[in-house]
Formats: sequence, structure tokens, C-alpha cells
Amino acid sequence: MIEDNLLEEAIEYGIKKSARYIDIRHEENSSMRVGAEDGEPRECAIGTEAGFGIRALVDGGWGFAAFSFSKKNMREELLENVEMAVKLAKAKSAKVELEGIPSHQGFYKTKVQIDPEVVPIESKIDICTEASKRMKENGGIAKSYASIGDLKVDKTFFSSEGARIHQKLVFSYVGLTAIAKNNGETDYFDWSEGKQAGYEVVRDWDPISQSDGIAEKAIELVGAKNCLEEETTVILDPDLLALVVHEIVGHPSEADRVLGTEAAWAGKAWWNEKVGERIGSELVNVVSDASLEGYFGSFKWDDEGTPAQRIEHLKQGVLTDYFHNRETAKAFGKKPNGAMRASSYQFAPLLRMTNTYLEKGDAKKEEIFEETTKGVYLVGQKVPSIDSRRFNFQISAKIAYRIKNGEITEPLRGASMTGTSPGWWSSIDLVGNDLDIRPIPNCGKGDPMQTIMVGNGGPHVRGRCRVVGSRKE
Amino acid sequence: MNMDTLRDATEYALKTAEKNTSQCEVFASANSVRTIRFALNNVLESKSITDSGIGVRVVVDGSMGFSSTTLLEKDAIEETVLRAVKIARNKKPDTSFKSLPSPKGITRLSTPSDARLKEIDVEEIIKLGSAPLEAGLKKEPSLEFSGSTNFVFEECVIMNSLGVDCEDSSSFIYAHVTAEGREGNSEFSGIGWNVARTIEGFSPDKAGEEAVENALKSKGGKTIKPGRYETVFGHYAVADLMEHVLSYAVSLGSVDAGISYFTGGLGSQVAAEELSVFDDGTIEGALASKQVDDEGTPTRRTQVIRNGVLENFLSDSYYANKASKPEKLFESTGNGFRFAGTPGRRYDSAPGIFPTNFGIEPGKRKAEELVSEVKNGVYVGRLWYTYPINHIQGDFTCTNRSNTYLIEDGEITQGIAANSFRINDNLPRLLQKIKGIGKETKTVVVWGGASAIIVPEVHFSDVNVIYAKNEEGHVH
Repeated sequence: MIEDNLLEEAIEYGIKKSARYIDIRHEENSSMRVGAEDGEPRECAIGTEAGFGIRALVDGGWGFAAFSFSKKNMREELLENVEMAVKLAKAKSAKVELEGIPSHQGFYKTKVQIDPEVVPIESKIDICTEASKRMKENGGIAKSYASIGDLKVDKTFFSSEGARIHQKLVFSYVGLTAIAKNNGETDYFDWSEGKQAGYEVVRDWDPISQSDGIAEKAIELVGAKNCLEEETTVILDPDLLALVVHEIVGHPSEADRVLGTEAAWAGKAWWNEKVGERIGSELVNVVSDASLEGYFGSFKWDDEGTPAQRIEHLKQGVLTDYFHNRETAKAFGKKPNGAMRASSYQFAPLLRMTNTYLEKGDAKKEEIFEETTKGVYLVGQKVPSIDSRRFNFQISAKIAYRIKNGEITEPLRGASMTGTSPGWWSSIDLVGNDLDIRPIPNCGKGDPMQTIMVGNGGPHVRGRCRVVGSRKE
Repeated sequence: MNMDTLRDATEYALKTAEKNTSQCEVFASANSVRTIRFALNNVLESKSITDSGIGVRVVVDGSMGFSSTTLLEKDAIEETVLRAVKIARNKKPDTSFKSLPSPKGITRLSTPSDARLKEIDVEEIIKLGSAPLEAGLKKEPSLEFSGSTNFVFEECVIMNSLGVDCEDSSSFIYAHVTAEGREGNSEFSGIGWNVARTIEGFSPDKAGEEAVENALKSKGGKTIKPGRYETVFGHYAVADLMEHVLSYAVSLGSVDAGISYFTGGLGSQVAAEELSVFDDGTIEGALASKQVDDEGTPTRRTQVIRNGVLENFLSDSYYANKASKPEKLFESTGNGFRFAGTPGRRYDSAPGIFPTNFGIEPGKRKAEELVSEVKNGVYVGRLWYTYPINHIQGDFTCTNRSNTYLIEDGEITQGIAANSFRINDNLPRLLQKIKGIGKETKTVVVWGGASAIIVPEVHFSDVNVIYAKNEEGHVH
């Protein structure tokens, strides 16, 4: 835990050095990850890191300096880096203006039932070992992997406007992968669970009890026919829908993309200047809510000190609002809505998704299938590809099934869904009354790229799009 | 942070770890990354990251543990070693682990790093980092520019209980500029870039000027219908395929897991005869050259594909030992690196398999000759979100972002609108469809990439373009 007066001194020093505004994040983070392969322990690692990230606004320009410190020289290094941030800010050629926010003081911590640190590491290794062994024992499984991990983030945020915020976040996750072989073909099925919570995530999912199911899916997949290309009715499970919402609602809702300031790498947003226009059917309601506790995108204040809140992106199919930081809020005449995050002290915060999901509807899951005479059921998120304006997309599923007369029938492999954002959202005609917010551990953005954890999800939904299969010859 | 401090921390950690382990290794790194980022024709952000720490890998009775910290004081080092030992003691042996690497010296590079980049002052960083934007604006102020310049200086020390004792340092600069414009309802886009190991070798203006040239050449707003097209992939597009769709498949780790489409393919013809692929960390002056990898194995040149035949996979020591069988032995190819998070090699992960300078050997054709051999087709210079949607099959998909042109009767006739089509194909299939390889190579660092990709332009005989619509709803 950092001493408050050191941060106060550093902020005062930055102001003295001509910063109009300065904020400092101090983080002490620790992570643990264990893994096993085919019933043998593999990767087991524990890491700790500590450092500062400093943002300074000088004459309308942002400078940022981050460093990992030595305990002996911490004060001296902190002041040097404050000065560095101030100097770097002078490179700016456009004037930044910040929307005002109240300065918050407070403390928040993740609700944890079981502190991951009190669970002996050997017990986690044993679970991974047993789960991977069980998967491998299924005939046809060539390789099996299991992993358990956690991340503890302890961050303090001070700003020159008086924000004094301390947050202690705990994330836990678990995953299984089975690789199956059959008649010269290889394929894999994997699944993971993760929440902002303690070791109860692992306990509740119980990877050993899940292992046979994961292995069976891999075996089913490797023996399946290739998905054929067709325009058809599709039903998406919440895990695949999570990635679709992430890519074609979450990302283009980041106001920095809308403005064009992320054009080089992350890209832009096709729905610039389309707030108030219809994007999807009336059943489509997509929101973000960082104040929902327990997910990968949950917190109480963002990395600018703005409180977590609910944001409506698509309301009954109409584009409603973007994610805003203090800078984009000023540019759009809006209020910052708490979506500014950095993946660690090393990085400057960016507009990021929080828990972004499609809200549940009225249809029972069984009814969605019963009302589908012909189509494809797409299950589980795999890999996305989206154009630079987030309009045209293709996203692969872990496994697919043909639907005939309301029944899930033969499995299909290599399936992707492809289409355009308005085409897809306009086609949604059934939205389930189930809801699952899934963990996305590695959302990339920024330069240098930083990856962050977010929550995405929704219910089962039905719509229409083109499905394509493998191009392998 | 200087090399002496890193060395002291490494020596102390090794000495501490040796007491309780059968083998141990310490990797310490100190990196600085300076970034000038621009968009909407202005410099938006100027950033500095300085980060250092150690990673300790220990072996106790055949079982491995890894622990890392940013704190280099003695008590923190002791705690880190203790954690690694505790992990190793409390798990069963990893029977695939044979040994940490033995000392084999290092590959000497004449100029491993540019010492000026370590001490460069902020004013010079700002001037050099903003230069690509300024050059673009000067050449064509009507376009919209975005991009960045990154300056990276990395130092590391690697020691292990078998006698490995190496230091290395490297420096690299990379600038990218995207220039964009609109013409009626369609968007056109060009990318330019420049990379260098030293400040002296860096030509920031080129990045801005090339972005302008490529953007203006992309005007025209043409769209194409779904179908199979003869396609010339430009340098950046080839690099995207190499980084995202080929590199994992030539990693011995992926082969061991069975998720490479090259599993079982050694010695077989996996590509057209024109294709030869290498990884070479020893090229003097090349962006990703290193003297030693992050577990103390000297870097080397590895011929991955020769005249279309798969000859080697890239490996670190763990997977080389794990995959070795009496009938086929593997050794580390010096590709055990620790890339994660910020640019540069980092202390906070155990080694994984990463390419260094990963490239395609140049062919004989000039760029215009490649194009002249296409009757009707497409030139695509920059792809977007080129990801393997089905790893094991080698399926990938992407859209066209920049430098995309229509080729008619062997000549580039007009620009194709950015984001106007989607490629959906399979790399193992395409590798057999190579018709020609260009003679001019360029070095590319893709977004988030850790390696340098050195590639020529490549002509494929048929590339599958699927269903695409543009934002105005026009359906092809």
C-alpha cells in the first residue's frame, strides 16, 4: 500500500512543473497460473509487479509516463517520471479539453468467498492434473490441457482535482481444452469460465466434473461434417453472442473510434453520426454495465475516477450512446460514463468495454429451437475478424449443429457466421429469456497494444446470416 | 537501470536459487518504450514506459516452477526464488522436461543496439516521433493521418546453473502511418512505414510519404464481386499472413499440441517450389536480430521451408527436448523468447516460442512483373484482422484495408474501396497456389507483433473473396 503523502507530493510537483491536470495510478498486482497436460503438471507461475502510471495534461496536451520502481529510490523515480510526463505532454499539437467530473474518494473491493491465495497451489495443480487426465482417458483424445489462474489488482488513483480512490479487484478463471483425432483429422474443443471473484469460480464450475463433457465435444467435432456455405437461420448460444456483441457493438461504441483517434490500429466506427438511427430489430437492446458486480468488466470507478454506470448502446434497435471518457464527452457534449481503463500501470487508460451484453427477451430457449424448422445452431466463441469500421464481420464458432424441425441434429465443424452489423441485428426475431455474461480475457487495443479483461454476453438469440465452413482442400 | 544492476540482481537470484534446486535460471530485463501517437492529423499522446524485473525458473526433482517480480532488492529476490521453489516442490515431475540449456556462447552482432536510444532526450523523441505525420501532411494535407512511432530499447541478462551467462541488448524503432480519404461514398486508404535498429538508420519521412502515395493510388472506389481472384499480396499483407496464420503453425509447441496444420508434415511439399521461409536472428542490422534467446541459446538461421518442402520447426529448449524421439531429434533453434505485454523481451513470463526475423526469401520478379502476369485480378497491400478462424485447418479471413488496386490485363488500373471485400481462404491451400515471388523485401512489424517479418510481394493464383457489402448497403 502506497503512502498517500507521496502521491500528494508527486501531484503537487507535477502542478508546479506546469501541468494543468495530473493523475497517478499506483498498482501492486499479483498473478498465479497453473496448468497440466495429459495428466501431468506443466506451467506453474506466480508473478508480482508494482509500478506507477502518470498522466499529465499540459497546455492541452497529454503526456504519460509509467515505471516499475525500486523501493529504495521510489520517491526520486516518481518525481522524475512526473517530470517526464509533463515534458512529453508538450509534443501535443491538438488541444484537449476535459469534461468536469465530481472528485470521488472511496474504497472498493471484489466480493470474494474464497481468497485464491489461501487455496494451496498443489491443490490447484492436482485439479488440473486430474481434469486433463480424465479428458485424455476418453478414446480419441490426443491431447488435453487444463489451467487455473487468478489475478489480484490493488490500485490507488489520485488526481490533482482531489480524487482519492483505492480498489482491490480479484479475478479467477479456469479452462479446459481437448484435442481429438479421428481418421487423420484433428480438431479441438475448449471452454473456460472466469469472473471477478475468488476461487469459488473454480469450485463451482468444477473442472474435473466438466472434463468428460469437453472431451466428448472434441470427439463429436472431429467426426463432424464440414459446415456448408449458405444463407440461413441461425441460433447463437450466449458464448458466441458475447463475442458478436463485443466486436460489432462494444468496439464501435467506443467514442475514440467514433471520433477517429484509433484509426491506425483499432479502427473506426461505421455508425459515426448515426445516433438515433435504427441499427437492428426492436428486440435488440445492448447495454454496458460496469456496476454489475462479479464480472470481468466490473469496478466501482474507472481509471479517470468516473463512477461505474449503465450505458444503453442499442435501445429497441436504435443506436443510443457510446462509451465516453472526459475528453470525448467534452467533444460530444456528453457526460463521461465510466469506461476509461488501462490494463496495468504500464499503460495509459483507454476507452474500453465494461460488461457489454444483449439484454434478455421473452422467448424460452426451447421455444427458439421449436420455432426453427431449418437452420444452424452456433455454439461457443472462437476467432473474430471485422473490417476497420466494424461493419462487415466473420466470427467462427467452436461447434455447430444442424437444426431440423426444431431439433438439434448432426454436428458441423469449421463453421463461421458472416454478414454486416445492421444486416445481422435487423434479422434478430427471437431473444431468449436466459442471460449469461461471459469472460473475455484478452481484448486488445491501443498503441502499444494493451489487452484487458471484459465481460460480454446475452441470451440465446435467433437471426439470419451466411454461415461458411472450412476452405481446406 | 543499467546492465550492472541487472547483473547484480541476476547473480544474487541465481546464487539464492542454487541452494535449493537441481537446476535454475534467472532472466532479468530492463526496457524503455517511448511512443508518439497521432491521429486526426495531430499528435495525440506521448508516452514513456520504463519497466524492469526478474523471472526465476527453477527445477526441483524434475518439477519446474516460475516466479517473477519487478522489485530487484535482495529481500524481494529471495521471496521470488522461494515462491518458485515452493511451486516446484509441491508438484509432480514434468516428465517432458529434460534440462535447461547448456552454455553455447552467443551470436556476436556488430551493433546489437543503439546506445543513443537509451538516453535520448524527450525533445528529440518528440521531433523524430512526429516526423512521419509531418511528412505526410506536407505531401498531402487533404488526407487524414493516423499512426505512431515507437522507440524501444531493451537490455537483459540470462544466467543458469549450468553455466549460461549472457547479456544482450537491442534497440528498434518502428513508425506506421495510415493516410485515408473519402471519395463520394467510398473510402480509400494507404499505409506507409519505416523501421530501423538505430536512430541513424531511421527514415521517418518515408513512412508519411509512402502512406500518401499508396492512399492516392488507392482512389477510385471500385468494388469487386465475390469469386476467385488472382491476387498479388503486398508486403504488409504477406506479413499479416506470416505473423497470424503461418508463425503458429511452424512452432514446435503447436506441432506438439497437434494444432498446427503442419503436424506430421516435415519433409513434405507444403508449398509451391517458389517458396522458401526462414527465421534468422543473426542478420546484421535486421530489426529483430538478437545475440541470444531468452534462455541463453545463441540465435541462428533456421530454414523452415525450402523450395516448398517443410524442413524445420522453430523451438525453445523445452519443446525441442519434449518432441525429440530416437528417430527424430530436435534442438532449440534459439527461439525461446519472453514477449508479453509491452514491446521488448520481458521478465514476467517463462520462455515461449517466437520468431525473430521471420521471412520469405526473395524471388526474381520485379513488382511490375508480378502485376503484369495477372490478367484480371487484385493487388492488396494491407489486410485487416487477418486471423486464423480455424487454426488446425489453417482457415483464415480478413478484409482489405489499404493499398488495394484492381489489375486489368496486367496493369493496375484503379483503386478498390477500403473495407469493400472479405477474403475467406485456407493458407495450406494458398501456399500451393503461389505463382510468383517478388525480389524486393521489406521489414514489417504488425500491430502487437513481437517479431520482424521480412517479406517480398507474393502472387497467388486464386484467392477466395466472399460475400461483401459496403456501408451504403450495396450487396455484391
